[in-house]
Amino acid sequence: MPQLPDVVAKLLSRKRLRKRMRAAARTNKWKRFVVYRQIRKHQLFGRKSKIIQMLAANADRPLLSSPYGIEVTLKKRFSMIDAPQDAIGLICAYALALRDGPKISHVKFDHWLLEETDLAANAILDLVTVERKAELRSQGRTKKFSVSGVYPRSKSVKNFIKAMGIIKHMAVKHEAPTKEELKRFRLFDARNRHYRLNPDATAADYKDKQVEKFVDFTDKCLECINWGLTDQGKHSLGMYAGEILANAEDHAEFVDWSVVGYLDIGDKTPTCEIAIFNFGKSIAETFLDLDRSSPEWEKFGKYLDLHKSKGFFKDDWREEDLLTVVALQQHVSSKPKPGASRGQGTVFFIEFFQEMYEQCVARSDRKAQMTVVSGSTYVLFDGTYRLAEREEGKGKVIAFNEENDLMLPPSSAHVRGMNGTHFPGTIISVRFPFSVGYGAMVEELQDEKREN
Amino acid sequence: MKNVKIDFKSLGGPVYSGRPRGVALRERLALDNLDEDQSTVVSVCVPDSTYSMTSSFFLGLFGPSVARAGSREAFFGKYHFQAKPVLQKAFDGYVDIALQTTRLFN
Repeated sequence: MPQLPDVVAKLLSRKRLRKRMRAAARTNKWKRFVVYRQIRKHQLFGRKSKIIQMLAANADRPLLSSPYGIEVTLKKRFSMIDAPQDAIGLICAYALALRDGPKISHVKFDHWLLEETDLAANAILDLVTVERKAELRSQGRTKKFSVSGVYPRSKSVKNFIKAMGIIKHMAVKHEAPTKEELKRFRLFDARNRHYRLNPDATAADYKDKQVEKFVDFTDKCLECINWGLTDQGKHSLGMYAGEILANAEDHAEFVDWSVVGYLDIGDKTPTCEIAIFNFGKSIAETFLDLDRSSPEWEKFGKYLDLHKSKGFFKDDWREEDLLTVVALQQHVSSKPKPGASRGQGTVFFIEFFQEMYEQCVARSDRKAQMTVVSGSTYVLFDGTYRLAEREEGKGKVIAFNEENDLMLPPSSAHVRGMNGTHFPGTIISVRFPFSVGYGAMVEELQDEKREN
Repeated sequence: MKNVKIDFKSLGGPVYSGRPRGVALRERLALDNLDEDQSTVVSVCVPDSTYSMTSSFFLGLFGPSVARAGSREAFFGKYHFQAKPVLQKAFDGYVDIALQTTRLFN
């Protein structure tokens, strides 16, 4: 083979060197990208929805699904107030199917049989779906997540699904109500899933901003019938909502709360619904974590010992149910500090509810109802039992029995343990007929004020 | 007599809630130093546009000052509140709560 001239050999050598360098650069760039992707993968929070994981862990049955899709069939009643065990059971089973079916990217909701529903149950079911969508997006799935479904026969429930249900939460544009249709609804929907608290104390944090909007939402609802919140009403509502959300951020050890509100003023019997829920520790769990030798635990121990010794505990009245009821009382907190009163939030909330109940029930056959579902405890407030001061200066008590005595078991219709069903967090649901009477919380608007 | 003014107009309203925010604001406003100085009177102005101030926020912000004062008279002698009647009444209640011992279980 003839030898190449020196000049040509030199040029070829340089060319090969450049090629090798470019190849090396490409390899390094790819290697750097692979390493960066791995770091991001481990740093990303919520890549797998923690809420889906928490709910799935409490499922007692799987929901039938194919590898790529799932059908959620709702029965006649899907309500956190009237049938919490069925509602939580379905939500957890749905979460389990999603957790165990990583390729599921389509969900069909069959609402055909649905006749009775409430805001809390629907909002949580929708939230699981929204979490799934976010989960797939954060995993960089190219295939879109989609939903389809069958509307219920009931027109008012259909309106609800469109305005505040899955149609709204999944932004199904072709099914969304028109601007004209939306005028009949008063809606509120806020969720804190930022997992970070505002470090600047001199500016309103997200929670306080949403509480302000929530108070305005309630005022707007009342405005529909020419009523409005008084200063006292605004203060009370802002206070209870603020305390509940602050408790959710302080105690649950997982910051993810939602506040939702719904009113259809075009409905034959308008009913205002409000739901506040958060995920994380239940009320009883925050107290069960207390040191057994701490003074705070001693206070609970007294009640636990008494109920144990008298044989009050049974299947639907358990230690955790007692802890939840005791936690609702004034001056009770799992984080005691000198001069601190963290149990106040729930007390104020109940006070507001009682006021609303008194003002609404006077002109309606339908009762106002409030429920607290926390962990596996269900508490119903329907006005039968009231928060009342047993002795002056000793704080208010609601024991859910005729004697209003925490030493005795409560009415099983108002407080019960939901054996086999557990919600990882706390749900507060309020439902009241929208016909308002007179009272300290609301006032009839004068023309001047209405204009303002 | 020195007079220090705390104006809630510049402190992000109209809703004030949560103990952590109250505690953080207490630090920011250095209320511990003000409490130590006996000759200082604090004017607290809460604008009429304020919806609510929760007990946990109030107790996070003023709780140690109430405990240090020892009585409602002493506390309101040092901290002069200007607020609409609804809030003024609520503050009275919060101060009582801060002074009240937990007697429910006794």
